[in-house]
Amino acid sequence: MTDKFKGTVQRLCEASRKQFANPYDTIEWPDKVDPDAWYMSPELISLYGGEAFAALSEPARKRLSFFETVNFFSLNIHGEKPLVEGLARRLYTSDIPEVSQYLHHFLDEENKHMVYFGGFCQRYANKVYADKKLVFPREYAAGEEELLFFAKVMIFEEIVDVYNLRMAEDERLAPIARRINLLHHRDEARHLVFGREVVARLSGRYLPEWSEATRQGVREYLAQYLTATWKEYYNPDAYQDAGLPNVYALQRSAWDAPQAQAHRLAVSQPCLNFLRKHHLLVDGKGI
Amino acid sequence: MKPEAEIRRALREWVVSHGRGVTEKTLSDETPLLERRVITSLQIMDLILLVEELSGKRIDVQQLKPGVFHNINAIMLRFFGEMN
Repeated sequence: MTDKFKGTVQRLCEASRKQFANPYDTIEWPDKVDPDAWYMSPELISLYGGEAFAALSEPARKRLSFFETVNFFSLNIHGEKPLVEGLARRLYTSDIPEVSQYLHHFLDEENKHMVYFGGFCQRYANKVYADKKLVFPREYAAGEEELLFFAKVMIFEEIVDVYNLRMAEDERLAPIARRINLLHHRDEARHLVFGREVVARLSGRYLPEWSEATRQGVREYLAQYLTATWKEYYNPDAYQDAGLPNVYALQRSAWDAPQAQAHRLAVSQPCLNFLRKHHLLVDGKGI
Repeated sequence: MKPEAEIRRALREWVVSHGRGVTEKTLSDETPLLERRVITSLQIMDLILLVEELSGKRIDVQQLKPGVFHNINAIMLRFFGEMN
């Protein structure tokens, strides 16, 4: 198991070195955004399929797609900030030296992603939407904080990557939006491999050692984390900037809509399957 | 802004429908929400949206101090303080 893991980490390091990028010359930033362009694939917009979306003109849908992309890039920044903190804390703590080598790449790449996301949000929207998550200190069982950290990273990145990949390939989108999604996806593909390997190792090691109460607590926490992660895609501030009325009621109805639930389930399915396989999720919870 | 009684009722309804281990009868405005794990930190984001909607004001999460979500009375005092 350890040799296989070390081999995987070494391959990831080699791939990161090959694709090493300068974040300041990998993107050509247009002076301003094109109001006639899509910035998020319409099918990925949080209101897609509902009455509110159907009632919008095409220019209004495109305006919404711009602010949904600002929200998508903002939530990526807020997801990557604690990730960078957590990765930095874990440098040179593993008994496998190759892990720290890869964490250097992971940190470097996550920092570059924030340069891309922040660059778009600040240049074209003059804002990054606020993070509304709160974290309170608490006690953990041995290994629990470690497993939760990597499982949360994995959940967050797996969902994001589905969006990145679809939008990188969507020819309807403005080139700048496609480019940022592509650059993120290229690195995330490696981070996802690493994340799954680490979560599988940690769950195999710690789940048998924990009490049933701790195991159940971890499963419930991850289900709630999955829900909280998805909730960030439904941001009343983005709706307001797009000129939509009754933004809080709109957020609730968009979240509850059957087509939105089906979308979240479809996007999350590979991640849910992985979590269930490793006994980290209670059936029927998490969306 | 909505009347105080209406805001308290909306907060209670939210806690009962999203929280664990409380009913309309057992939840009071002094029930510790986080300490008793009625709600978790991951649910606070949703509660913040409700408070924003009820108060008509955006909340700067970075400025919040520990204890503001201790119970419904604490939420009322911090976000609807002028009514008390």
